[in-house]
Amino acid sequence: MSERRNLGVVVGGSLAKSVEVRLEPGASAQLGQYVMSPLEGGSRLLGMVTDVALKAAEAGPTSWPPPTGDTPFAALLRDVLLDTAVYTQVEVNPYLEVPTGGGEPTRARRLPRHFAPVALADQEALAAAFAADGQALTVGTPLGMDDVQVWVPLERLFERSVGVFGKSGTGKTVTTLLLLDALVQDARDRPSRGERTVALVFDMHDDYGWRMKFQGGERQGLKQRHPAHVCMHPLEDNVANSDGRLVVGTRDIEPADLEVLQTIGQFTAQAIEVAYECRDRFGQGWIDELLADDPSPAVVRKTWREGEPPEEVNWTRVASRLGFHSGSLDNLRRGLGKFRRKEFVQSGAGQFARVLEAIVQELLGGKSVVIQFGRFGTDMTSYMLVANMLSRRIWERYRAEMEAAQGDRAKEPNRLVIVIEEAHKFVDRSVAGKSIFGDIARELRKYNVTLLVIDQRPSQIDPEVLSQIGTKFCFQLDSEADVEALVGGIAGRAGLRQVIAALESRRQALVFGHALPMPVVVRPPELAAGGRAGATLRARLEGNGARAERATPAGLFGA
Amino acid sequence: MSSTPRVVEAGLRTFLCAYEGYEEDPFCLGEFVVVREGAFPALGVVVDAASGPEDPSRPLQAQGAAGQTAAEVLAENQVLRLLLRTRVTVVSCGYVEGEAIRPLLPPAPPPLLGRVEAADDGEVKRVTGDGAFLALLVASPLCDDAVVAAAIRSAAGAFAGEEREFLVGTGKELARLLKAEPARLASILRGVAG
Ligand SMILES: Nc1ncnc2c1ncn2[C@@H]1O[C@H](COP(=O)(O)OP(=O)(O)OP(=O)(O)O)[C@@H](O)[C@H]1O
Ligand SMILES: [Mg+2]
Repeated sequence: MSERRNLGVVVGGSLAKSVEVRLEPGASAQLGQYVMSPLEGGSRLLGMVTDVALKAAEAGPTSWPPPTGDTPFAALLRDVLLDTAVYTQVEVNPYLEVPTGGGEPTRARRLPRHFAPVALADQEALAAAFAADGQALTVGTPLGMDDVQVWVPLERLFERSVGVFGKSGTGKTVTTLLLLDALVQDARDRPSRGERTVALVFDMHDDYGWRMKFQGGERQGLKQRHPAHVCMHPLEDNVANSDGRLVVGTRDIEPADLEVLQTIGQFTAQAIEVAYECRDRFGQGWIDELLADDPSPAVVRKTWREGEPPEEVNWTRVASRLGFHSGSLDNLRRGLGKFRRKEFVQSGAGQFARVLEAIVQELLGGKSVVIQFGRFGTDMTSYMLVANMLSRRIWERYRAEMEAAQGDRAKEPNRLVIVIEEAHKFVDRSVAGKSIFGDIARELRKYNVTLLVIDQRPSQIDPEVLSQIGTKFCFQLDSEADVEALVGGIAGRAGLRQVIAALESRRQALVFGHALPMPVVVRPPELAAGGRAGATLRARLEGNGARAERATPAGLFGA
Repeated sequence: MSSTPRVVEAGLRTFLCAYEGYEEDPFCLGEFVVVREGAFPALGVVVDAASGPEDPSRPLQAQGAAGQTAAEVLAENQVLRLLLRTRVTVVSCGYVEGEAIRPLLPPAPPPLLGRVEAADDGEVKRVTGDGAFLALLVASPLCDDAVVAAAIRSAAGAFAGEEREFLVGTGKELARLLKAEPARLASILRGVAG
């Protein structure tokens, strides 16, 4: 502990809340910084600064503060009172006990004594806390410590869902690219496809496929970095480097695919009911039938199965015959009509089944897949429809594979991470129960499928789904409600709330949850132009257990 | 002029010293003095100075022609000077033990008739450096705010070039001692800042 980093002494606190540290004269601490303090028996307590408070030892000086101004008396009185009668106290959330000289850090179960010295955490303590065996990726450097990398074990990160939250322009996309790049690099390094974790990315703004727009320029996307391990399926026609355009046939759309579109006001609940009824009655071609100006003879026959149809048949009559309000049927037909006008939607069966099968094979074969929305990305309806359709079907395939494996690890499919943006639209409080993503979030462990959700409004996400997200990357957020939604249930939340509130508006995140031993404020690595991919990954050498040469994030995420 | 004042009444907490006669220019308020005699040479701060007749039952009569200054009157009446005395009250604030100067009450009072001299800068720095001397001053009924302020100011004179650091450090010590009396702290510091 160098003198320079000495902060102050412990003056109180509790394990359940926080440790109170009185700052030494001249010392200062930032929210989110790590500090450490010796524990009896030679280990050290590691904690995070979660609040800074101005305190007064006695009421007097604050009731009669020194006069303002620069008179010798005022200046002297101020200098005298600072750090005596009034002082600065920081609150530190205790997290880990780090043994000196190596050994696994453990959860903090005791506190330093009164007056124990407190210092900024040093490299060694943080490196011990965030060391990871095996494949790990760095998510950046802790606040105020540019020489320490925070490593997160990949396996642990993706064994549960991951959330990247923050308001616009904070760095969500860059961070997600970092995570996905590490994931694909890891998959590349694994010989057997069953061990690989692959991603299915619903790429709303064309950020992850071939290139990423970045500060007026661009950076390589996943496909450019890993051509043999990433497949790209665009919705637009004539896209370079495509592995097959994704086209949706009207016959491929099921009412269940539409259900989630209620959140964005595309369909009413009644319209969805009508959809189910029409699918039942009119069969696979139900959408084409509904989109005709007038009910076809087949529709008439199927609507009036028993009894005579009226002389003049129109959609209003069909609706009332089926027992619905005609407004609901109109709502359904209008919505479907909008789809039909999108270029990636075609009448009939289209190519959907073939591309779907190709995607499933790619995923099961250990490759990651990017669905690129191109200009359709600005249309939430298209995004949600396609993401929902593919995810539902792919998840069902994974479920079937999982069940067929009957617990035999060797036969189980590889792990899949589904990446969605604007996640709250999919797992809104009102539809989470009906959304495939709600199911995935809840049953992730069972079927080897997890989510990586990117969102600006976590408070809109169904709390049950949110609680299933293991590791959270939390950038600056817009509202109290969003912060509360993320830290609501966890220990030391009051402090974390402060830390989140103090995050910078760009490229600074609080990372916490499943994959990390304790929350950490990081500055994600710089996203550099080009360079060697996967440099953020660190491998452990097989056999002797020694760590491979520490890879600095100098390649993909520049020096 | 100037005779050496000597201790005429000695106590642990305070001692009184007197000049042989009337002294127009005695030790100043707040000045640090030392009696470098006895087992434990004592250091103290001047808290009061008074001049008057040697015999209180024979008060000094106002005299002198119109327009004469005090010095002219005294020069004309040499005998007067012998009937007058100047006395200085000192509050102990430390003592010398071997090499060390301790900012504590001396174990024994200074010897009667011991010579009282001004402390040199080195002695002042050593007795006041850590601010501990203030405890004795603040606790003495003879030291009001003005006296404490004068003592701090005179001590600061010994810290040439680092007066500000000394004043702030001493002020902080004072703030701890007077934590329940912010008004007193402010009043003393006002006196110090001048
Ligand atoms: N790790 C980083 N290295 C360098 N620049 C970064 C990094 N993270 C963010 N930035 C800067 O911030 C900008 C916005 O980042 P990004 O596109 O990831 O934000 P976002 O949270 O995805 O925003 P939106 O919600 O609008 O999509 C980037 O274009 C870049 O200039
Ligand atoms: Mg983005």
